[in-house]
Amino acid sequence: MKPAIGKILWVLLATLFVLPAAYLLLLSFSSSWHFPMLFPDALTSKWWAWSFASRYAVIGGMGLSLAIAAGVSLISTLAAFLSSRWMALSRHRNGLLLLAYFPFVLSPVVLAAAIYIFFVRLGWNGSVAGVIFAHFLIAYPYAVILFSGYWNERLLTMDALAATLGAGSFQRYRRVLFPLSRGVLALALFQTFLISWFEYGLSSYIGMGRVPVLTVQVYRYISEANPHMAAVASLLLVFPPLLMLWVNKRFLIRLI
Amino acid sequence: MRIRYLHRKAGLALHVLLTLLPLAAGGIYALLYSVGLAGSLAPGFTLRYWDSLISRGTLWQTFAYSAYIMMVSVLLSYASALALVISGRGRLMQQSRSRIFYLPLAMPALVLAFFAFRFFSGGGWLASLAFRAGWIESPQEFPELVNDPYGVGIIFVHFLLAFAFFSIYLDRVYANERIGEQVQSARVLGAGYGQSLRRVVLPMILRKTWPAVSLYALFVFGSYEVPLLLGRSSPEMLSVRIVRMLSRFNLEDRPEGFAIVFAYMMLSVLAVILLRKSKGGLR
Amino acid sequence: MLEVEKLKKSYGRETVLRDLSFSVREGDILSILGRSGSGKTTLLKILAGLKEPDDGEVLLRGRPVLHLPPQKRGMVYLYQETLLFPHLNVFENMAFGLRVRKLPEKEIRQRTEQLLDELGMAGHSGKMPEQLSGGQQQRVAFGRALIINPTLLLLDEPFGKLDSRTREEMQELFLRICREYRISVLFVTHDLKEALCMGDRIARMEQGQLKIYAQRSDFIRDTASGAKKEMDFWTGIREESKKKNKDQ
Repeated sequence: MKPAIGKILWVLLATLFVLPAAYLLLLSFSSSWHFPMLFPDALTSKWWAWSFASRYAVIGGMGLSLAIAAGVSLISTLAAFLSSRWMALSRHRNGLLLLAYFPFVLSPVVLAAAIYIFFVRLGWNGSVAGVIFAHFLIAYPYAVILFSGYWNERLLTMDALAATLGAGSFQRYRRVLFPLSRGVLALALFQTFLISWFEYGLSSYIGMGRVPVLTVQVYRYISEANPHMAAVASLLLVFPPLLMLWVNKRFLIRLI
Repeated sequence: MRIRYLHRKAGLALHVLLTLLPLAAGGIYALLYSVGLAGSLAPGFTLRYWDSLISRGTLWQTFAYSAYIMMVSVLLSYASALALVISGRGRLMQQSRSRIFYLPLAMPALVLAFFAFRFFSGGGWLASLAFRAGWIESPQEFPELVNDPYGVGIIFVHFLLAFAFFSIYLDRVYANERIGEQVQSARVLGAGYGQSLRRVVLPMILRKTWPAVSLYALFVFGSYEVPLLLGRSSPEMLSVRIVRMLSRFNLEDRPEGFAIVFAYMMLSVLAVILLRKSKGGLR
Repeated sequence: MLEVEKLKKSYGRETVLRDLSFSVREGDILSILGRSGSGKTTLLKILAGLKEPDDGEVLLRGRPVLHLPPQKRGMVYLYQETLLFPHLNVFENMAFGLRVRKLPEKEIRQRTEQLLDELGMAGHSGKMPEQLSGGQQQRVAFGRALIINPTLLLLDEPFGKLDSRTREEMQELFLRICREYRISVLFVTHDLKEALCMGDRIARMEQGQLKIYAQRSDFIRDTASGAKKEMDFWTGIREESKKKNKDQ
């Protein structure tokens, strides 16, 4: 590649990637911005102030989203860590792993639509617990697939050795498996967090609009034609992943 | 003495339950609903919903349109990322400025779709620019880029997300598979640049990455937020159509919606099994 | 102290252990020779509780152990690789077995330091495993097993990856310590010489069964053991060089 073309390409790419966030940031601080204005007529912080006010439950929604995503990430990572270990020891590991791919490839909102009736029967629709469980149903298989390559022969042998040295199952998790797996556990925690944090379709379907997570709020402001508040909510949605990018960019590379 | 492994077996049984039950229960319910055997107003066994879906062409149209969006956005982004990675010789992500490739990955599809709407719609920023430049006199004159029949807006958002992801992913594959060294040894053996590209780089990368690319394509196929904001009601992508049909109280729409759910589930199961069976596919 | 009765194990159609029976006396070192794939490892894993037999019984000091999980058997299984815990330093690797038994801190310190000293590793207690040489890693792996006073040590080709000099050093050290603590050992190897110099008794694994030789001389005399062939080889070379010397 010729240096000049390379430079132009980088500028183009940077524009393409930075533009959405930059545009939304400007939108969130503009008092009005519509056709045919190229730039907002005046800047204001009122949308941000409103979002912190109680009438606009944006901050509350962010807290709810955080709590749900943290819960989903913790439960699904832990459950998948255990079950992927048992799978690695099982004769049927290939078949068991295959099962995890089915919910993985399915559109979450379609899955929600298909099982919605069972949530209604169980009284879980429109509740936070129901949304957490529904998120778990897609975050768990993801984490299982992520862990599936992790349990190699060496790790399993080390685990067995710890057992013959007298460590019970709980001790082995505490003293050997968890400390050795810090990296992959962190990866799974962050990525399952993002799956839940970004999820809109499943949350709105199972939550019936009664569980106002941040994504549901973004959509609500968009459909109420309030682009400024939608931009504020959008930026709040982008903030934690950006933080992750700053901590460790590897956490962001995931398939969905 | 087998009792020692009981907790492991119970755990794995739970795994089967968690992964298979939602799919099986949802699939069976959808099937029953679509043939008039489930739901509060079930008329009894009938094939007329399937009949009408097929004869009106709705089923094919929905699947074909989703497949079209999937093919175009994945092919476009994969090809661009591949070209970029090859011209960068697998060292793209070693540069600190490559961090910008991670920015789209930090954005939920919903937010990017919202941005695309504000940017590309008739009353959006690009249209304003065109107006100022004197190319158009009213928003109506601006070409349809969102809510358009060709799904330009949808494809743009999917392209942005997938291009960033594929660039990072392919660059890593290029480095991990030591493709640069392979090219060198091919050159030493007398292959020209084009030949080493055609006979070494492309086959190696394609063979290594196609399972992940197929999975990515399946996500695009079932995507929801992006076509919800940027699509139109006909033609319509799968997830959006399903949700719209199921949320209506029209007696005909719900069973037909469930028929599409069932067909989509079967297709997904089939895709996973094919991916597993094929050589070098899923583990 | 260890009695194995009619152990059976097969994988699909392939029978690995066929009514295998033997016993080991307190403080005895039994060398087990066998080709790779002869079922030596399977036998050790069943004894350690890492695999289940299809049938049979294992008694340790008269007590059946097959129903017990590995951590309750008091048998330590050591692999060819040292498998030191990479996140723990030398001291903590050694002390592992005491920590999981929740002994008082003072006792852990005292016992670990004593053993570190005995193994010649006293100056290395703060190091991480990757900072150690192969022989040093092996010592730590040993210490980690010995510290819990195992009733039986199961060794699966423990010196297989060491160079020949370190290997001899380790064999000596190992013999000294086992004698000192009167530890009973099952020692699996495919090295004839190692089997002969380590074991009080020698056994050979073949076709899923274990043949124990009462005396070393019986082992050497048995043509199937390969010992005679080996000796003939070396004798042949000696004769040859003698003859050459004479000719010159």
